[in-house]
Amino acid sequence: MATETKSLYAKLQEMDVRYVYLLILIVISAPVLKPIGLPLGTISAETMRLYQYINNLPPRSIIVMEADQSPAAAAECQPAMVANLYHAVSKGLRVLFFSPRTDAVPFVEAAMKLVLGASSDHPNYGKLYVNLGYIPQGEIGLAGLASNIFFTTRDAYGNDLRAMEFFKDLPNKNARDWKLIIYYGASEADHDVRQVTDPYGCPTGGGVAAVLVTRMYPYYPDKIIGFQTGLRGAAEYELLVKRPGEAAAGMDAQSLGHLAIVIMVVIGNIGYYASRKKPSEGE
Amino acid sequence: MSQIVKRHIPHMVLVAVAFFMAGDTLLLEKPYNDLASSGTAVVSIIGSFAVLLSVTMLSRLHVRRVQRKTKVIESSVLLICMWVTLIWGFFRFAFQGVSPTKEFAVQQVFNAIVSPGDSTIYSILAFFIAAAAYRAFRARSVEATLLLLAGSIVMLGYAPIGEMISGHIPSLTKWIMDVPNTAGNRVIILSGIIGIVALYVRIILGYERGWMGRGD
Repeated sequence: MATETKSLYAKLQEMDVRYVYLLILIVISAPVLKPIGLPLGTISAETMRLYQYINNLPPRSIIVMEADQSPAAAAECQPAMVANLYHAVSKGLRVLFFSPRTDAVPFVEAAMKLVLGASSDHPNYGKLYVNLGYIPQGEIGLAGLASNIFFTTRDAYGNDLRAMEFFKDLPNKNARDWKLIIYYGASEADHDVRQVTDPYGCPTGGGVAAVLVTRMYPYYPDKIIGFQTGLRGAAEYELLVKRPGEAAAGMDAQSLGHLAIVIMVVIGNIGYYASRKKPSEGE
Repeated sequence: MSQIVKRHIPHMVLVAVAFFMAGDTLLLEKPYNDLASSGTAVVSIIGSFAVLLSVTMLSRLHVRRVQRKTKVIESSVLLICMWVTLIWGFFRFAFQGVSPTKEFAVQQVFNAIVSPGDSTIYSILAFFIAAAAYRAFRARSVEATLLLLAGSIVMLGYAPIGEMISGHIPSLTKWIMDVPNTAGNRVIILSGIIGIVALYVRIILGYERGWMGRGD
């Protein structure tokens, strides 16, 4: 019996890694193909604060959406951006988009087409929505844009910014006119706090990949007023704006995936401790 | 004379620019702020030229390798793809007025190659993380046990199933993120900022001369 137990623990320790891959494949893809419908649970305070802040903004207030999501991070950040844009549009807010990385520009275009049905062809483009496109040099580009809205003279489609109605009634032509900047991505939102929130008093929000969340808390809730944590945060926001989408659909897969990893960690540790306490006869 | 031109004049320019840009954050004078904003634009423009320089250097390096008859098939294909995309995008924008944001071929390259490729590579991480968690995440010491417990709680807390397992998991997750995580991250951020400030002071005082090229 002891030998059998020992061999079971040893087997647990030495299990072929391909079984782990298979298990993860099943627990992630099965709920996507056939949703279970697990309840989302309590909405987090971070998401709720962002929602309430946007909800309380007067119409025509300017919010800036900084698209820094690579295709890799887009699975988590794009649903957040879409949900926020939907909310902003329903509240009649003005939205200014820009991307500090080239591969995020198409995601702005995609979000606009999904929520507005069009991008530069939309009748309110240039009045309520403007896409500045790629602004190079990361934090330096953001600092330039915050200090002067005409830091870049043309939008992503080559239109002259100075001719747009969007910018006509802005008193300062800098970040003092903004009511919120929302960062979407997996790099860092610190530069928004440094270059926009601290000098101009415009708070920062976020729709960030889960790996970045630890970096948001040092600034929350004063500088960063609220944020969406990965896919979960985006799903919460989708429910708040009553528009369940990709994030809500991915919650079952995330639940089972996380649970599977925790169970594997527990099993792995049981095997580790049991094999340490019961050395094999041959040793 | 040589020392003045090579060392002292660049250093004086740097000190003047550094104090000028620092003054921008302290003073609210429109002409001053506008001038500082132009300074930021200059940095952006220089950065764009750096991209041009890197593309040129990459192509030169590649041409040299071809001249030496080194086998560089894969990188040749990549380089040609880069140049074709660049020239096509530039041609369409400069001569036909089509923005790269709308250009069909550029968008197709992104949608069909770049986006799925990047997403696939990133999603494969889930399998590696799961395998690593199973095989290597062991409670071998008190610190490792704490890390393991905190990691497991936060993983469950950030998925709806955590709240279904126990109502305490979300509140524990929040405490971990609010207290130990925030404290640790603030230490890292502040240490970094103090280090950067110290470096800038050393540069302004002339102790760091790496930015001038050779330090002799």
